[in-house]
Amino acid sequence: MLTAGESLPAVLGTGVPQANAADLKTSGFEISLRWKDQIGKVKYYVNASLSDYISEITKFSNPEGTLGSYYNGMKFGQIWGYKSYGLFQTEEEVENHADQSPIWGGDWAPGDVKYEDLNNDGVINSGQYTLDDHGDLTVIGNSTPRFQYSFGGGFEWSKLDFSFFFQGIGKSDAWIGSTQFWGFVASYVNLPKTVLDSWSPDNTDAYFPRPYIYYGHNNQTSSRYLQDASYIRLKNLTLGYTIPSNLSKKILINYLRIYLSGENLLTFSKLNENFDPEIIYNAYAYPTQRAISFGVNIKF
Amino acid sequence: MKNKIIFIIFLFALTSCNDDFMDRYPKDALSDPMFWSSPDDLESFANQFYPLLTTRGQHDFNWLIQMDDQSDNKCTGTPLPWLFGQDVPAATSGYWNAGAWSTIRATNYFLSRYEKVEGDAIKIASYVGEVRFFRAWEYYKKVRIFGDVPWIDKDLGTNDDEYLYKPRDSRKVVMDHVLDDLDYAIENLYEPSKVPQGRIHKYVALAFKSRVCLYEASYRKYHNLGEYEKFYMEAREAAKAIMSSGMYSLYTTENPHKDYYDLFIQSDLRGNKESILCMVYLTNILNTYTSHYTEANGYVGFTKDFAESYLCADGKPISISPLYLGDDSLEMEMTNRDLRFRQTIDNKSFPYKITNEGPIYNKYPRVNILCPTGYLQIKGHSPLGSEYEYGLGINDRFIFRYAEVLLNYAEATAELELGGITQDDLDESINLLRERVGLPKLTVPIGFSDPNWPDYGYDLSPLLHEIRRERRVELVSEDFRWDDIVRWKAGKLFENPKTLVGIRVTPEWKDQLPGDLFEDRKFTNDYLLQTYNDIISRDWNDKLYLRWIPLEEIALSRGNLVQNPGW
Repeated sequence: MLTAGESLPAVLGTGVPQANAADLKTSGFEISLRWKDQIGKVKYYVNASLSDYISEITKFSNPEGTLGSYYNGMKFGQIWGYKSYGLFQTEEEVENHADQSPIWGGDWAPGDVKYEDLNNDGVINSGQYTLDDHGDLTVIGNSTPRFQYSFGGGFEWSKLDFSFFFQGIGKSDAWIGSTQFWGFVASYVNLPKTVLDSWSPDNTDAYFPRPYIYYGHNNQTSSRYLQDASYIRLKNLTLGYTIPSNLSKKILINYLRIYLSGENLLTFSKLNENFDPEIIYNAYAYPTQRAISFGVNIKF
Repeated sequence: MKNKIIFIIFLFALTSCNDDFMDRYPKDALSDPMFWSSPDDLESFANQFYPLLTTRGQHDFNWLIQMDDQSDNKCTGTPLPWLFGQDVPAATSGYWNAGAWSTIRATNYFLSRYEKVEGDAIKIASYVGEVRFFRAWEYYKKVRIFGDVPWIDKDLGTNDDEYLYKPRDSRKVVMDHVLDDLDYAIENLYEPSKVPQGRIHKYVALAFKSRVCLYEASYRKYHNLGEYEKFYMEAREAAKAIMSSGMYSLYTTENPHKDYYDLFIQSDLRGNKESILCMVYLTNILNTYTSHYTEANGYVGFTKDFAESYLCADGKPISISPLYLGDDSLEMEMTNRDLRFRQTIDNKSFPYKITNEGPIYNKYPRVNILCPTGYLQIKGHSPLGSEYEYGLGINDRFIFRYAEVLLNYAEATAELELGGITQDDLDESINLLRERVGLPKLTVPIGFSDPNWPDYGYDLSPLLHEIRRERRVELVSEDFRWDDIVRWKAGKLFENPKTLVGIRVTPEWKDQLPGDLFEDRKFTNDYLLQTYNDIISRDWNDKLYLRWIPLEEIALSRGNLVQNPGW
């Protein structure tokens, strides 16, 4: 595939030129089912689709095995980070935990994020940042949207018609790490409401760590703040009614249908509430809207 | 037969188009083979480097207010991670990535192609001089940040392994090359009268050479690397060449109470004799935000330690001068002092704002997040509403100021082991700066001893103490202080607790000030305002003289890059 070639030292002074430098293997499946039938006077249909894929780099020259670029066997979308299951609650806990100073040279304190010492060497670090020596980093997730699905259905009965459509992603991780996620990263940003759940001595069970006005040690890519990007969303729901033609013909209309339709009426997602599962990474994109519309179809 | 002939002609037609015909270059864009034809092309190429001149230090700070924030002159609202030992090596870094090396690449790209250009040899050489000046500018920056760095003198391809995986060259090797580049630039750049305003010329290169050589000489001397005499010599000679040209002098209207203040809020520095090179801002073309940022986005204030470094009006330090009134209030502290004190830090001598209703003076020290220490900067801050207005400021900015040259001259001369500094040397350098602000001359010998001379971590001659004081005071907030501390190996200065406190607020003075002015703020036992409630001292670590190399670069270097000491 066309991509920047083997990583070269920065003294090159420019980006590594694009070349057919990597081989990518994608495997997956796609299933789609549709059923239409009639029971008595009720015409109905249902449909569903499911697809899934994973991609893997099968050839890329990265002799040093640095994690900053592709390497053989790399699963596309994988996210390297630290494991973290909680925040420090006491000074003693900080003292007794592995040394986190390679991440930040300041004084770690209660409310800061506790990273797990996966290689049990008493120090939390990223080693040489290579495949052979990645310290306590590990693959904590994958951003590939797995098991993308949709299903819908509808019926017509007499003058009434109804349809709905759901879509979703079965499994996906997202590392957002943006200002809109963390809030406290610099002195000039607007804060989202979610940061109210930051650690303080009065709110020790908080989700976010103790706030600092900078981006740093508590904002490392870690499993604690990895987002579950799976979701299911009711994209469309429509209810319609066709006015009997003998009535409508009185006003010279052959066919008159009125309907009520809703877009994005329901969403189920564990994602941070500041983000929409369909546009996670671009906080400045125009947001997905919930729309309810009323309409009339007319045929003369 | 006829068919055969047609067939042969057809074959001929297929094979006859020559390569020149096939090589077409875009007519609506620049392309390398078409570019290098006239000296004007060289000028266009060199233009891309000029933005580099607007930032000098390790920071990309454009505003006077932010310069020196990483030093003992100032304290920022929140502790700087670097100074407080919080910075740690990361996988990547903006100081050492492809972008950070792109200027070196671009200069080398030029230098390996300019020879294709035909035309006026003197003109061509002047542009080569410009580009070599900028290569020196970049390498000087890299050496200050990292110490040893690989010297690269060609634009690299992806297969140039011997360069890509080169170990770091000793800073001595690199600085010798930098000196070569600067000597070439000095030799081949035009006189100022022959270039358009804003283009670099011979005296810019000389001023830069004096700066670079003084830096390298003192770095080598105080970090015990040897072989420094030559660089002090070069620094002195370069400064001397500017001084004896007669082209520059200090700005003065013979008003010692105002000239220094006015110098940094000039709407037009073109033609100012103190400006060797300035950045010009013009209405509707390019505006400055300096005054706006100084007022609205500072988050920084001067330290007590800096305030105390100003001499008294008799040329003696506050520790021994009978003129010193003490610091029971800011007004007392500034009385009978070096007049630059009042012209650098906010006080009732200068209006902070001038509005349609008239001048407005700050009634009491501005102590808030914008100025955590109470010593608010006015150097470079214009009181005019038009300068504060976002996008309307037109006050020009120095890039090379003659005062620095004089200070470089004095220091380099005083450091030279042969000959040493004479009264004449001081009279034609530092004493000119003192004359502008009405301070008595500095003499050889200086004639006093200051018990409060800073602890640099080693002994220093009284004269050098005073030369360094003069430099600190004159050039404050012009982005020299951190470099000075590094080259003097003077990190110990940061261990002085007075570098962490601001104004002194006695209980009597406090009673006259608004009650909420110091809400949530703490004071030391001597009533000194603490910048940070929970930090009253700090330790220096020698590793901070040089920055760490990103881990990913070390991993990619095939074992040739070695991390800087201590990281």
